[in-house]
Amino acid sequence: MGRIWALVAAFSLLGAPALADTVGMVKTATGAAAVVRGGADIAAEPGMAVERGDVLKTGADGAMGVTLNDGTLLSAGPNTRLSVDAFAYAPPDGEHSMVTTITRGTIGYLSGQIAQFSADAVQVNTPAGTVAVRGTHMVIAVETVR
Amino acid sequence: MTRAAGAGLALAALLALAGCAAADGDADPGPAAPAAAATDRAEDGPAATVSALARLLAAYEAGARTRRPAAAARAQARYDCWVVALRRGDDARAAECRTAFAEAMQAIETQRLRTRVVLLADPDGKVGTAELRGRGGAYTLDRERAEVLADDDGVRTDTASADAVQRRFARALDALPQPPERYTLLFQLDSTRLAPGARATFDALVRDVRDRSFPEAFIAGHTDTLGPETINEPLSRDRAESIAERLVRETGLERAAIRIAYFGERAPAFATPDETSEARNRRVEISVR
Repeated sequence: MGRIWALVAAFSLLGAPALADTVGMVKTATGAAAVVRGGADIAAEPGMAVERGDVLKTGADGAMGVTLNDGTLLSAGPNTRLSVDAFAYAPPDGEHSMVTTITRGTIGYLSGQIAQFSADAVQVNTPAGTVAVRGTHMVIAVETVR
Repeated sequence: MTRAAGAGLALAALLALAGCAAADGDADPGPAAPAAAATDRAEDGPAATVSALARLLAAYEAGARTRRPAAAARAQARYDCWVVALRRGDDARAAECRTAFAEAMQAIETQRLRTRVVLLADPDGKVGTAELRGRGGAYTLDRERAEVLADDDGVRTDTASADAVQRRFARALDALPQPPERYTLLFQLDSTRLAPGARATFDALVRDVRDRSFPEAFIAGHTDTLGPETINEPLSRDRAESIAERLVRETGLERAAIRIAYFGERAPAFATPDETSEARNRRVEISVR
């Protein structure tokens, strides 16, 4: 535990102010995939920064995956809308939280450090309620039904 | 809804707008007329019940009672509860019912959606837990492929087949990035030279970085507790720097994709007294993602 914290703590000290809103990076993107930021769609490409408040949006043939700063993996399948509403990762003080919202489509999730160290710090809002994640691997779909 | 009921509702709305309270015991099965209690407040007083009724009636006009019967019935019941509570001057109850009304209205007005949550085993075969907290209560998932399905009609739990998970989630699962990997490299005493045996780990690290798309490396340097911190802190920095330089040289990783931190002897992997030579603490930890 101590040594993991040490590694984790190391990098929290280094966050440059300019990167304060950067919460992760796009690692995979295929088909129609975009990051919606400030109301504008930016085509998603691997290597692109993900910021707090961004919405991951994919079309019928699209999919994308991001790695967040704590090592959490998130992905969006086709026709998906997933927003990264809150992300706080500041070890070792214990102030962690991650809140995302899926309003349509499919997502994949694999826990990072936040879920390991803070029970209930990871929440995924869905139309049916909030999913509190204590790890580790999960998928969610929001389907439209008649 | 029946024409008569619709007319009754419209009448109730008109009465309300005119500032009159409909008498209790009306034949009308529609929502109660807005309350005309003295304690009017902008947010949850009688004035608000007027616009709420208009909203409910608009939803009925749009076919909510056939399309979403359960939610429509719930909205009407909560509306009635709200109005009655206001008449009685029970503010707490009124607020409760108003909130429940708003939730029911949201369910009516939004598209009908079904949410499916499936817990999976992680790459190490471990199964964690997740809990859906919705209107109908809390549902815990704690077995592999345990599934909860929730929509306006209720919540049910099940076990998804592996095939069904593939069918529904293949694209999302394929798009998940490669999980981060962690490496520990040990060093020789008071040196930035790798310990014998660390070479194989370093080679694995190099291969991993080369195989990833847009890799990032987080590098933390450490020492054991032998010697003063004034020596150990720069030594831990130099160890981390030496690994960063070698990674750049051998993998082409961009310097901007590397972050370095150093701790001297302050964060040992294995706790020891001060002035203790401990090979396992003379190390650099690397996380690659």
